[in-house]
Amino acid sequence: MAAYEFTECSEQYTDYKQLSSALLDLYDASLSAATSLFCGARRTDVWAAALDDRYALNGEKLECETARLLCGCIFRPLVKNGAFDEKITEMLRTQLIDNLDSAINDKAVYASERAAKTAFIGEAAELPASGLSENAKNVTAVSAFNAYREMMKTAHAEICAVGCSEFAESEQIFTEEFSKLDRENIYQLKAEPSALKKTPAIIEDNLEMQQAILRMYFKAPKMDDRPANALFSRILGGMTTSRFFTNIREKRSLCYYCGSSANRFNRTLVCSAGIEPQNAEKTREAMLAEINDICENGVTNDELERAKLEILDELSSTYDSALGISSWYLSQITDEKFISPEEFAELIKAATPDRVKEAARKYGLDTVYLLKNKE
Amino acid sequence: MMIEKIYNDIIKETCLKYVCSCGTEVYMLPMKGWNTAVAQFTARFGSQDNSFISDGKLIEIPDGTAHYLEHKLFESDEKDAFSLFAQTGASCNAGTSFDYTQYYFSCADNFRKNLEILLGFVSEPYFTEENVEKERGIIGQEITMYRDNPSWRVFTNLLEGIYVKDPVRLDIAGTVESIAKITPKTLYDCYNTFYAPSNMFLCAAGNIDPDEIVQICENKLKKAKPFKIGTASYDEPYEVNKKLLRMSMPVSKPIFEIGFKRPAVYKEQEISDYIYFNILLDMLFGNSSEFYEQMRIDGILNDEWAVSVFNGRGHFFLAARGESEKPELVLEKMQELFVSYKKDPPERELFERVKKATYGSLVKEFANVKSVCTTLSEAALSNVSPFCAIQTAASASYETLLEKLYDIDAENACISIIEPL
Repeated sequence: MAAYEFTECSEQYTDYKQLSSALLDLYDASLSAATSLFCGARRTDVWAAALDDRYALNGEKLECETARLLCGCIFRPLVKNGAFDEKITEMLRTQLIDNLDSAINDKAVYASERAAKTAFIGEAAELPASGLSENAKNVTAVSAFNAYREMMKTAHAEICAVGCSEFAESEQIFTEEFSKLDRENIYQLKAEPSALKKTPAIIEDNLEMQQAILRMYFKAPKMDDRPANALFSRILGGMTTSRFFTNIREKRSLCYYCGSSANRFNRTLVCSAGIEPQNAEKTREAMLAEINDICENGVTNDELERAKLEILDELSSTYDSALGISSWYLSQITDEKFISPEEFAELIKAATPDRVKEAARKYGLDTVYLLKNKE
Repeated sequence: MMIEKIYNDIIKETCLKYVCSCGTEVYMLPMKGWNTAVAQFTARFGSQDNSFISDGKLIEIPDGTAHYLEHKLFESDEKDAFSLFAQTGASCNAGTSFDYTQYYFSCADNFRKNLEILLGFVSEPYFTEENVEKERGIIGQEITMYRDNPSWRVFTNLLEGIYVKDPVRLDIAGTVESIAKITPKTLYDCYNTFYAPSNMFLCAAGNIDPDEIVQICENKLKKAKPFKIGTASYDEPYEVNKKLLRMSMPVSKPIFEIGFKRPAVYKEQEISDYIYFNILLDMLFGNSSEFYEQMRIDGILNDEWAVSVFNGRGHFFLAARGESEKPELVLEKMQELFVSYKKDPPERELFERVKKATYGSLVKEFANVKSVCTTLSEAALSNVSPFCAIQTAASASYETLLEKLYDIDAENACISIIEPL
């Protein structure tokens, strides 16, 4: 609920209308919050974005004002009698439940949430990032406020500021706000691999729909070669000349989309495809065949070079987006040290076909999930 | 080499315009200090172009042809476009909309090579019985995927409800039945008509060298005589086609989309109406409006609510979408509010606040290479200056806004609803 409370109102702006009007006054500054899963923990991101001061028509100090507004929402929420405002919380609870229930509106999201229940059973990731609808129903103004206080006291916190500014004044504003908090027992983030099942779980799910969605989860608890792993995922199903795209979509016309993505934190590889229900088995076999082929025969120098070029190009683009820069560094908060995009580029360049093959061989099949029409 | 400079004093940016000898227009905005570059090559050929005139005869095209052509243009008799881009590391893709098809790439290196590939593959079609047939299954699955998407269905149903004749009411990808009629000849006929150089434009932004782009365009683009494409004419009625469309799908709660139909407008008038009606919608129904506040308190709307203007060649309507157990009540309240505001207009102070925010959101578009390039393409598509929108927002007046408000026909509306099964 914290993500909802942060962007709804504050002690200064006591309802959504007032807060929205303040953002409009700051030339459509944005204020957003979202909950996600990160290293087995629930992560709440709150961010604000504003125009650079030089674009203000009347000389307004947009950066400082936006930083103050953001801090107001995070550090001084609207509190009444030791709890969030009851009416507002009731409305936000309904909104949260609506959003959780609406996963069914997007079949890919629905399939991902349903598959995660099996793929990550017993782990934080088995539940959606914002929790379950049935649990959200029990949230009260008091329980939400207590959770908020606990978060402010113990959560691992990171601040990231990106833009054409030195951020000296913003830094001062945040420093002052944090100095007023009693912080203790700070949560220690740690990237833990997801456990690989001894026998793969095979799940079939049904919904009123025309297309079917196949998701396969592979896990490599002992993965220790990040560059090779990134290249393997890219070659397998992460680019337009990938094995999946070329052989499963283009040559066999089995699907419109067919891709793979690796999560380096829980050391999982997810392969997914949108298919005709009758092609589910063929697609599953085709995806497994591509992985097996890389495990046995490795990748070609040409494939490796193409994947490297794509990743290197993306790394060079990191600095052209505020979100790109913040995401790059925030994704490293559990690493031993921060590395720059240029340093990671050097690691990518050094990867060899043998290392990619070795990375592929570390994976084992964990879960096969199929969502298809009710028969 | 005649390069025209278009300067904007508000954001201190200069866009360069060049018209190639083949007739293709080129818009460029170099951005100092940025690593990436983006190029978008656009044909004024979209799903709504479902016929053309050749030798005085009207040729009808199967629905979904523009989208099919987009898929097939990536192929060649040697290496396909994806393989060529893979040798440079660029990220490339394409998209088909109602009134255009666009091919694009973004890259941090090898811009020259990438632009040559882009212009090369779009200029050299290669359609065979075999490769056209192969694509049918892939596109069929794409169509199926969109048919399972309630957000897309509620929108396409709305278009069907608003428009009587305008082909914008047809699905961009067509249907499994309509794409079954597409042959290599269909694609070549459409390509030779709609991909004429004078019906296309190129936009590029970021880390680019304008002189180099002009030189590549002159080398790669084939010379052709400009000609006017003849298309079937139709008179779209003023009134909406249907007031209400309902459908059932697996959704958690009814989702809906509302459209207030307006006559199509073009060039600077289109941009002006787009800006003013966006400001008006935000004032009356946006996040900071009393309407939205009350609807949330009453539990009728949640945070899925959004208002916008939908515009393009031949179509223009004011749109609102959301989730609600009482979608028809939302429409009713919006209609009531239009009527009451005509009698008692919103305050000037509110207008100034939303105007400032609209200006801010347009300036933000210039903080990203891709969005700058998209801004150039959208302006080229509407045949206006790239800075037309920002200029209009900065100089918007309260009096003109009231004229727009008085001109709204709140009854000329359609609502599309998707209910849970």
